[in-house]
Amino acid sequence: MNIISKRSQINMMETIMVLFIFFIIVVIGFMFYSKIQESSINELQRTRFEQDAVATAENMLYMPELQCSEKSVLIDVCFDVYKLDAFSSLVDQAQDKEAFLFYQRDFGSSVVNITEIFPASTDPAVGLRKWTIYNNPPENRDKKSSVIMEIPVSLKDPIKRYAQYSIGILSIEVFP
Amino acid sequence: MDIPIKRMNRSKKSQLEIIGIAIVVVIIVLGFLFVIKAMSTSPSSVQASFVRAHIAQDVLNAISISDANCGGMDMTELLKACVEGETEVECGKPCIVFKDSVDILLKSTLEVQKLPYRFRAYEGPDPPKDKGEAISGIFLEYNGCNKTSLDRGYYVIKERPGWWIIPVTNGDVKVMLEICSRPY
Repeated sequence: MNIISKRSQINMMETIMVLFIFFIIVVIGFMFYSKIQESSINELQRTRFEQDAVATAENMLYMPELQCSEKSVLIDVCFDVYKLDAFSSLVDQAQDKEAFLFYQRDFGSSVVNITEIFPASTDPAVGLRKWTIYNNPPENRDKKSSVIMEIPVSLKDPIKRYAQYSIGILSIEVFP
Repeated sequence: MDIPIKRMNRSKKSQLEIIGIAIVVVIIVLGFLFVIKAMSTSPSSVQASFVRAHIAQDVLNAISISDANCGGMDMTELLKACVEGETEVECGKPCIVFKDSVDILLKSTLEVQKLPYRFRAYEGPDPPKDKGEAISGIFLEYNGCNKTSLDRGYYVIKERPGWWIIPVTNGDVKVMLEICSRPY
């Protein structure tokens, strides 16, 4: 009687141990699954954010307010430098709040710059020009991750008789 | 009579244990497969692929109309002068000036973004395989984007190359800019 009872107890203990280990494995599996789900949700959020950033870049590249033209024909990925001058001073928070708010709908929290890179001006006083087209970074800019896109563009100086075109880099930094 | 029954019971028990071990092994293998699958999906960047898809043509479009900083000539006129055999323009030898200017431009656009590229200028139907076959050695490569690494599959050309075609007296001059990508 005693031996049978002991054997039963051992069998019970064995079953309990097996169940215990089984549940531990299930819990670890669930934790791992939830981690993977979390990272895939983060990835999805990142993709959405990058899509928004690309939309911002597309908006900027084909803005009629900035595009240049040759005999009324629009030139692909080209900006008129005089339009850039006017636009950058117009869409300045400090100067015209209404204009800034109008473009904030399209560009949200981002910083857009255009820097001339080629050719270097023969006049050292002029140098390479730079325009800040839109400047609306978040308050804690350093702590936030951002997407940066750099796109080569043509810059047209329509006042010049010759050598109207130069090359610049359109840099767009978009914050979530 | 009692002994064979005991033996049979023991044998049955062993079979059940083997089945149990097999089930555990199957579960572990499935778990590993799941982990490997979850880890192998590399994140794709929408923004990076947008830039890669457009940048080659954007660079060539910008170069084609840009001023060459050479007595009012633009880059197209400079390349034309190079191909048509002009030995000297206002700022020097046209082929050398063109190549140097393109080098500066590619450095400040593609190399800044660490994008491996291959830039080739040629006249025939097929793109040149080395510097010797290109127009005046206008054959620039960056970060191992070359025939060897493409043949070995280390790099692939995923995006459409950028093209710039200039009609000259003897036919067409073609300029091709390719961006190399990793195959995975």
